[in-house]
Amino acid sequence: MSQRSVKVLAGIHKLYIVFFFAYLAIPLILVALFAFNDAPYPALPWRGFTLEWFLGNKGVFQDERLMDGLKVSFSVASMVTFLCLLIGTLNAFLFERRSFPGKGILYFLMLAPLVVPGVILGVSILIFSHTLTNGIEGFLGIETEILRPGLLLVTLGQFAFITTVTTLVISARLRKFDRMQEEAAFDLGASHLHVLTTLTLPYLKPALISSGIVAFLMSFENFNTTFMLVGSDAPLTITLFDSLRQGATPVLNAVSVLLILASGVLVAISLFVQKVDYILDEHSK
Amino acid sequence: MTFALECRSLSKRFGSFSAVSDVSFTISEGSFFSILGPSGCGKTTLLRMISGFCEPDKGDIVIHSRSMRGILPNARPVNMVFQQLALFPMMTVFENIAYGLRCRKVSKKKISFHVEEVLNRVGLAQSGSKKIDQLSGGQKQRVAIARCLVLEPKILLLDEPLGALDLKLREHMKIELKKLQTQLGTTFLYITHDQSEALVMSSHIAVMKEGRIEQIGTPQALYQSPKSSFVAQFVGDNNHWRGKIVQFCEPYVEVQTEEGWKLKALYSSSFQVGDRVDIFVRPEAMLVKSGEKKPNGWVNCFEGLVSSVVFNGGTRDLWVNVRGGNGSSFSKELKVTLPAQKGDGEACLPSGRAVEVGWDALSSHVLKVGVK
Amino acid sequence: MNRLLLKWNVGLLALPLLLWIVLLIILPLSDLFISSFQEKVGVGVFEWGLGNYQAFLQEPFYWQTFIRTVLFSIIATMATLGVAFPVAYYIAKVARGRVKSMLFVLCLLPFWVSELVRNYGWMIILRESGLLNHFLMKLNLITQPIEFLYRDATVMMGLIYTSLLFMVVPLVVVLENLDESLLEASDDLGGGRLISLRRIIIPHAMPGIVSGCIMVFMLTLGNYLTATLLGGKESLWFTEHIYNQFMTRWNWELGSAMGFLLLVVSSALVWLGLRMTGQKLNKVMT
Repeated sequence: MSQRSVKVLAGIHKLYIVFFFAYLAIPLILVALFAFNDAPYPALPWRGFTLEWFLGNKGVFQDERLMDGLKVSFSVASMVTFLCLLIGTLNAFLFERRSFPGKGILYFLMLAPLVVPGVILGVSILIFSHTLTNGIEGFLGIETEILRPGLLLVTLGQFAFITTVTTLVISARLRKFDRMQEEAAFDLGASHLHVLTTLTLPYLKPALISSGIVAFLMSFENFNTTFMLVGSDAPLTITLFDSLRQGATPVLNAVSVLLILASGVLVAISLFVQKVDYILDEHSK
Repeated sequence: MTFALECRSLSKRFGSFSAVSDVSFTISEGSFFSILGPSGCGKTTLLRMISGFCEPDKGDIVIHSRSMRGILPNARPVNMVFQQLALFPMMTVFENIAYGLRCRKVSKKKISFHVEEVLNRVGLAQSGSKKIDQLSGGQKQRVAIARCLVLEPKILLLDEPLGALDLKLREHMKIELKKLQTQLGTTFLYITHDQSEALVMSSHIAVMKEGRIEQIGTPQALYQSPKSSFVAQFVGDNNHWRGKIVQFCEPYVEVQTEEGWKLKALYSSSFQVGDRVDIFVRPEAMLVKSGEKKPNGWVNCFEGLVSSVVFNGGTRDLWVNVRGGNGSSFSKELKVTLPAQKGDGEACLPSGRAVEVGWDALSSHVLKVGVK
Repeated sequence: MNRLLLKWNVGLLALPLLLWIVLLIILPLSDLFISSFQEKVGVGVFEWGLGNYQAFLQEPFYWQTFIRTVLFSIIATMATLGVAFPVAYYIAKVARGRVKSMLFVLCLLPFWVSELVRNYGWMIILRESGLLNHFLMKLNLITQPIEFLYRDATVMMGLIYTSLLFMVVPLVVVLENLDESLLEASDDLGGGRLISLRRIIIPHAMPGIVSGCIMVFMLTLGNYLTATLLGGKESLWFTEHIYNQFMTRWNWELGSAMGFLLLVVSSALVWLGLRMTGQKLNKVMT
């Protein structure tokens, strides 16, 4: 191939990359832009800059439904993050530190939730909870409200597939841990608990932080599973979806801006933690 | 007399593999005891049993008259310097050394007193606040030792701690370790596959092979009178022949080697005609001569060609190729170590030169094959 | 004694995992399976049978959507691979140093924002009163606004957009590990660009391609938001049928049958993808 055609090819490649990133960015930039347009609809023409849709009487912070949705999302995501980190850590220790019959099958089953479409996971948990409720009512004559669609089911549904993610991330980190350090600490007189709290968990911290952030965001943004299990208290994504179907308003753009900012900050923290951790790892080699 | 450590017929199997079988030895207090053996000989398993990371199937470990059966590693009066050191990278030097004391719930004041003191002893007085990755290889080594010493263990276990260092530092640390041990008086139990480390540092060495102890003794004893072919070959260099005793001729016995050589060795009353024996001669015990005049008085003497010369500074190693006796087609490389002195004609033998090599029957070492 | 303790220990550690897998995955999916074979014959009275599957097959509206969804998902997966590959190659092999990590992060960022927000962005651009129409009218290219939403092509574009991350990341990871000297050797031996691509780059990237395709296919097949928001009633997705059976028609049994079919197709294609390329699920996922 001639020098010239190589250059042309490289140029085309570069141009493609520019277009690609434009394709990625444009929808988000436009959503953000129209949150500041002084017009009742998120559409052109541009009518001047305003913060009305954030701070005004009809702004996000005055919209009770959205604020309630935010609160619900926040509490569900916190709960899901806590559970996923807890169980994910236990799973990591089980898979990385123990050998037992059936480990391979169990590992496969642990991965399975990633292969089940979210909608199907949602409806199957819905059916099962219904069966359970009916069963309890049939046998014991007690009406159990707790397993009706609602926040408990939403939390469990999200937990069911996000735990796989935290398990994978924490296991990967645990696998890299030099077990000799634990033996050394044990040899120096530390108890198992002391070794765990002074060495192993501090080592896992970066993985716990970044998988915690991932779990939080996945929960916060989940729609498919949540949509099937939601009751009267709706998380933010569901509220937004309903509003969107009723018609777009700049308030929705304002909420989107807040969501973009929040995820940006969380991702930045996660990347920072990973980077610091990476540098430390390289250093100690 | 109480010993720092007694191992009483220790055995350990992993499945069908017998890692350690029936090992017994004692270590007296304040000594530098090495366990020497090739990889896979069971020395690491032995160390792990002493430190408590694995339980022996049979036998007992007694430290200062106290049986260690059922006692977990964190409660044993021994501490270990790990092969890869296993320093805690997220902690400072001070925190690393204080770790064990904190586990014992020692007061803060006492901790800093003890840590400062031990840092002084290992020559790292100013390094307490440093991070582990700021230290050199030798400094890390000393931190790993200090971390154990601060707990005043009855025995310090060292699992090939010099393996990760480069050659120069390793030579230096050998001397350092030996000095440190003499100065502290703590009993050291040192594990290594490197015979030169063991010879330099130890007061006693146990040589292990396939889960058993071959010989225990001082470095001098092991070097000069190995009790088995394995020890003779593993500790120090040796020229080796294997053959059969064909006849007695006082004060010698005549040995016919497999390659067709006839060698003379000192008579011993345990020998019988027909015994299979190994003959070992240290390279520095070899004699060499070149030129017209045949050497006389050499009991064993061969003609050969110098095939290569290796200059080592203080000494010079010659590799001499000798042909088999009675026109056989065998040939054998013999190693001859000579002091490399200025103006010493014999030491300047270039490769390709025809020489006579030999040795005195007194300086060879004869062991019966298959007898311990 | 010790061994017994260890068994207890493993059991205790495995308990949360077992509870999770059994109560939230195995039993619910089994219930879905069982429920798909139940036919309502009266209020609260059910009979076993294949009625739900028959109902599915007899209603072209259902099975046509089903086939359309599967085909569209396959096309979307291939298209995503085509769009993502040059980008992943650029990030892994052309860009250097800071630019490289910056591009990679920029690539990830949009996907941390809710899928809803991303689709909302496209709606603002593509709807009848949207930006695209505004500009086209300003440029006098069209006189009447066109509805770009609710078309198959739009849905496809949205699905590719949503799936890109899951293709780019595994591709970048495998291409990073491609030894540059292999490409140089190929150049040196007289291999052209296309030969390098076919003989070296693609075989090397295969694990990444497979894991990317599996993730994208699954996510596309199970997608709900993008299909609903950009496709609406004109470009129906199978998940919408499932949702309708459960939430509006209140026919859980038929919904279960449909859900089960979707699960089977999804798992079968994942399995087939792994089989064809000789890979293991746990390797692809990690």
